[in-house]
Amino acid sequence: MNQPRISESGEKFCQEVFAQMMEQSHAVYGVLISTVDGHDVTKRFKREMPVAKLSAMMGSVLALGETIAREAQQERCRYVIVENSDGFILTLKLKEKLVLTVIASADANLGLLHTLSRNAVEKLAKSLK
Amino acid sequence: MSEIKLIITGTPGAGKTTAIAAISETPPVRTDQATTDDLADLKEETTVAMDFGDLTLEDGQKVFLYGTPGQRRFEFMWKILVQGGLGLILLVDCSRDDPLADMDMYLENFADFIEETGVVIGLTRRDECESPDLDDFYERLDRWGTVFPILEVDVRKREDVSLMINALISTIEFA
Amino acid sequence: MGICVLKTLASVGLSSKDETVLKSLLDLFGTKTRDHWVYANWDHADAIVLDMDNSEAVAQWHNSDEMRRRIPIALSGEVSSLSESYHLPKPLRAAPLISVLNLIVENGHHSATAQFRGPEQGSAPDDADVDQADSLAQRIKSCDARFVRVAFHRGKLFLDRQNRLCATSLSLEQLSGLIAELSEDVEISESESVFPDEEAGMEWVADKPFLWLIGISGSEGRLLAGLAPDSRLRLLRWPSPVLIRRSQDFMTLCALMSRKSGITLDEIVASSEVSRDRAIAFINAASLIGSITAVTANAESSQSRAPSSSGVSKGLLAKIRSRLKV
Repeated sequence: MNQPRISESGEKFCQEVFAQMMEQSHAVYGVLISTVDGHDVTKRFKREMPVAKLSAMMGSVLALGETIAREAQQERCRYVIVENSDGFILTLKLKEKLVLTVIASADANLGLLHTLSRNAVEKLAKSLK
Repeated sequence: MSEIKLIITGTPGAGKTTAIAAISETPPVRTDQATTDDLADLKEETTVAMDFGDLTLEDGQKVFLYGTPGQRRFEFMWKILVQGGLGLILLVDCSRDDPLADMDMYLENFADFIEETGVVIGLTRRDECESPDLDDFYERLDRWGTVFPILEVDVRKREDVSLMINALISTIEFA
Repeated sequence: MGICVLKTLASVGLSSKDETVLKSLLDLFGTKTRDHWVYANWDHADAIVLDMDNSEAVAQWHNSDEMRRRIPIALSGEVSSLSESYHLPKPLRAAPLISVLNLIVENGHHSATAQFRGPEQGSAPDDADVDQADSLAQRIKSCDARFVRVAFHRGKLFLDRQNRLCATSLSLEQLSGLIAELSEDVEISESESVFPDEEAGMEWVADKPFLWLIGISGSEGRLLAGLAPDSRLRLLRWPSPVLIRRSQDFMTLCALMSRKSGITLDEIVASSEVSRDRAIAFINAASLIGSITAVTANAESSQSRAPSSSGVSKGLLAKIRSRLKV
């Protein structure tokens, strides 16, 4: 299977952005970029997680979020947030074909997570082709 | 009234979304996203969560049609979508490299659901590729010890989708 | 099993010649049927052969409750217009008579419950009207040679059994009509070599649609030789959608015969609304196209695999079919 890849410099840039996010909020312990159709592209995880599975799931979740918004006659789904007893999983579109997922523990500030994620998307979108 | 759910699964590009669109009363709910891998040669978008369509019976009861994503990486959606399902329609795209292996893979992955309900297998894109022979598909089914219906269909045609659903409910009722 | 019952047959309205022939046939062949049949007066008979061309006799039959309690067998020179379950063509011959008597026994008919529908009532004919010893399906099945020629009075059909091909100038619709008109006049011949010139210009095509039609329309309510009512039969594969989509009965039969343990003819009739004759026609058709096999199964495995998760009712499934307009 010919999966989407990013260049070495692109990978380096992504890792720098991921590291900054984790520095700005210690609650963030996973950042993942995947494709809209569920392939993993790059990640930075502080603990082990099934990256392939998460990538597919994030593709589904974001697509469902967009579809649900449409059915409810709302437009432009920005985030899909999974809030649970152990933390947050925040997913948002990164350019047309990519998805950014941020995974944080329960002590994260949701507002800060939003800001971090949106800023990261802006930076990454400018650099990734 | 109980919920009636029919599940349509199968290989990417086999026509799951098309089948639901062919028979649904309302425009199907879709979760298509751009394809970023080899599948892009075949189609620009693919279902990543589910397709959804519905039919209304004479007493107002609804029959829901759920299409699964085709790729195995979305296996988790298969397990979610079959819950409470009445039966399975499996579409096999005969223009792919190994349709027999494709059929095996889905039958194995949906084995528990099939055992509890029923399955009908629809062979699509037969106009593009007549092999493997229908007998080869039935030979592959031998180890299941039962004969699932294998029907050559054009899922763009409503009557062909109806035929598969009828074969499925007949199997559930009588087999 | 092994017990032979004595049955009685009478006649009403037959010419003296036909009555003599009937008695003679019973004398000669009455013990060769499944039960022993002897001639008797109608008031002691299990079944009555009624001459449908004799209007007085038909009226007599209609006006007598006692007579109508017997199983009617219609005898007529115009068989195609008849709508009774059992009928015989004129002139009376041994083979059709034996077939009808066997069919009555096989169907387990009780004279007190038998119904007769006169032609004037206009009921639709049953698929499996019996009119001769070997059905068209059986005659074709019995052919051993590679090439078979089936000559109707308005067209011919050639079969290449080895290559599963068929050549004919007849359309399926025409063939269906010809079979429905009775197969008595059909000439069947077979040869190891191709019939010279006769099929010239005809295209050889897959034989399944033609064999299927012969099984469905030309079985006359009798299973092919080698297929017994108590055989456990199972589909090897579902027939093509083209063949089965026209009838819900076929879909039901396909599903029933997909069971791991196979199913008998009696079980089919007991577990569905499909008539015995319809089931026989389907089984014969599936046999002719090589899509069924006999299986051995124990009683435990012969039960239907009930869907455990859905708990859906037959009514619900019928509503879905209705919505699909199938």
